Amino acid sequence: MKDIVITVKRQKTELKIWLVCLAVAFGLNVYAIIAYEGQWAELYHSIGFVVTASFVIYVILLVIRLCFYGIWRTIGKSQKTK
Amino acid sequence: MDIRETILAMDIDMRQDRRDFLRNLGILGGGLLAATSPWLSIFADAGDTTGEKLKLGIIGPGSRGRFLMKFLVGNSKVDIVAIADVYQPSIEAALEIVPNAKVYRDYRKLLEDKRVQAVLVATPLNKHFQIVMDAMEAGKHVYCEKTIGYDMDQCKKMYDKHIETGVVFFTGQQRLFDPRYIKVMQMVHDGMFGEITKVRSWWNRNADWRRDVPEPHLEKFINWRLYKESSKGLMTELACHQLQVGTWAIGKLPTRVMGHGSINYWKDGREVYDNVSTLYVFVDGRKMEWGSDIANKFYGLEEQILGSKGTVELERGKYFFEEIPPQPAFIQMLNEWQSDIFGDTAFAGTSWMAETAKPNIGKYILGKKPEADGSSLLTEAFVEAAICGRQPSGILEEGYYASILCLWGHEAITSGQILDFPSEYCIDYDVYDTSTSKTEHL
Repeated sequence: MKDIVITVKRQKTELKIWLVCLAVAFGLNVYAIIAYEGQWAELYHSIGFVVTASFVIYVILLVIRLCFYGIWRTIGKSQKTK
Repeated sequence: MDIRETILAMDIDMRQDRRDFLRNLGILGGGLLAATSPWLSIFADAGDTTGEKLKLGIIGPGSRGRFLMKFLVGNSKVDIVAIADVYQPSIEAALEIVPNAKVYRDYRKLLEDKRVQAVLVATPLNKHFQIVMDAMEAGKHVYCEKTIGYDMDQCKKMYDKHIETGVVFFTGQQRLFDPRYIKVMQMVHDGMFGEITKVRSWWNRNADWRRDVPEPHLEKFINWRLYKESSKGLMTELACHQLQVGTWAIGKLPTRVMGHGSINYWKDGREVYDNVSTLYVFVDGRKMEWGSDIANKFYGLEEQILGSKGTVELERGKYFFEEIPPQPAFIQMLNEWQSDIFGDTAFAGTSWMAETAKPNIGKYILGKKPEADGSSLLTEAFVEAAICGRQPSGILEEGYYASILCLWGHEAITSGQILDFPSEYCIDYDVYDTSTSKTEHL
C-alpha cells in the first residue's frame, strides 16, 4: 500500500472539468426550458437536477478519460519494451 | 376574505393550538365558512367562559363513553359529577377516570341530581331515545352518540323535543370539528375540485365485531351491536359519519336510496348484516355510495369526494387534482432521451392501453399526515355551548340528517325496495335544500 497523492494542479484541473460539466448541465436546462416551454423559474427550482446531472456527466467523462489513460499507458509501455 | 387567502391563513394557523385555529376560522372564514360549517361559530361567539364549570353526568360510560371522558377530564371547564350504568365493570373503569363521581344504577336518578347541568349519552342505540327525551324534559343539555335514534320517528321526536325545550343538543359527529374536513369542505364549495359528481365511502374491517362476554347470559348485553333489538348493525354504527360527509360535500340531501345487506361470512348467530352496500341518489343524478364489509380490511375505511377537477380522500387526508402539473422541463427532456434510447415498452397503441390510475401523490390537506379526529374539539364545543346555553347553528341538524340517512338506508336494505326520501322527516335547515327532495328525478 502506498499513499495516493492528488496534486494541487490535478485538483484544480478536476474542478475546472466539473465546472465545465455544470455549465453544460445548466445549458441543457436552458435548452429544455425553451424546447419544452417550461418556466424560467425552473432555472432555480431544477438546480438540484442540474447539479446531479453535472456529476453524472463528470463521472462519464472520468470513465472515458481513464479508458484513454489506460490505453495511452499500455501503448507507451509496449513502445518502451521494443 | 377570499377563500384562497382563508385556506392559506388556515395553513398558518395549523401551527397554533387547534382550538385557536377554529376560533380564528370563525373570524377568517367569512361567508363561506359560515355557510359550510356554521357550528364553528360557537368558538368565536361563545363569550368569555373562563372560570366556568359545567357539571356533567355520563350515562353509559362504556368504551365509547370513556373515550370521550378522557377528553372531558382534560377540560378545565368540566366537572364530571356523576355516572350512570348498569354494568359494574364499566362503572369501575369509569371511576378510574373520575374517582369522585357519584354512581347511579338508574339514569333517572342521575337526571334528578340537581347538580347535573348536562349529560353525555353513550349507551346502546336502543336506549338513546328514552334517556335523551327524559334528559331534555329534565332541562339537561345533551350530547348523544350517533346514531341518535333507533328509527326515524324517534329521531324526529328527539329533534322536536330539543326545539320545544331549547336545551343544547349535540350528536357525536366528530368530523364536523375536524380541521381536515372543514378545510376540504371549504375547498369543495369553492369549486376547487370542480363539480362533485359522486361521493364514495366505505368502512371495512376483518373482525367479527364481538367483545368478550364473561358469562353467556350477557351476550346480548355486551354485543348489543349484533342484535336487531338493540342495533341496526353497520348502518347505525358505522355509516353515520361517512354519509354526513357526503351530504356536507354535495350540499343536498339525497332523494332516493337502494341497498342490500346479508350475512355472508360471520355466521355466528348475529342478527345484523356483516356486509352492506347502499346507493343514495340525488335529484340531479349525483350519487353517494356507502358500503361496509367486515370480512376484508384491505381498503380499510375511506371517504372519497370525486369532482371533475379533483378527488379528495379524507381519511388519508389527501387531495389530488386531475391535471397533474407537468414535470420540470429538464426531467421531461431526460425522459424523452431515455425513451429514445430504450424505446417505448407499450405493446399496443394508445387505444389499447389499460386505463389504470396514473400515479398521483397528491397533497396533504393540512400539509401533514392526519393525527387525530375532531372528538376533542366536538366535546369542547359542547361544553362551551352548554355553559352558554346556546345551540350552535347546524350541529344538531347535521347529526339528525346523518341519523335519518342511516336509518332510511337500513329500511331500503330490509325492504329490498328503492325508497324515496320520507319528506315527513325534513326539518328546518336551509343548508340542505330539502325542497329538491320533493321534485322529480331526471
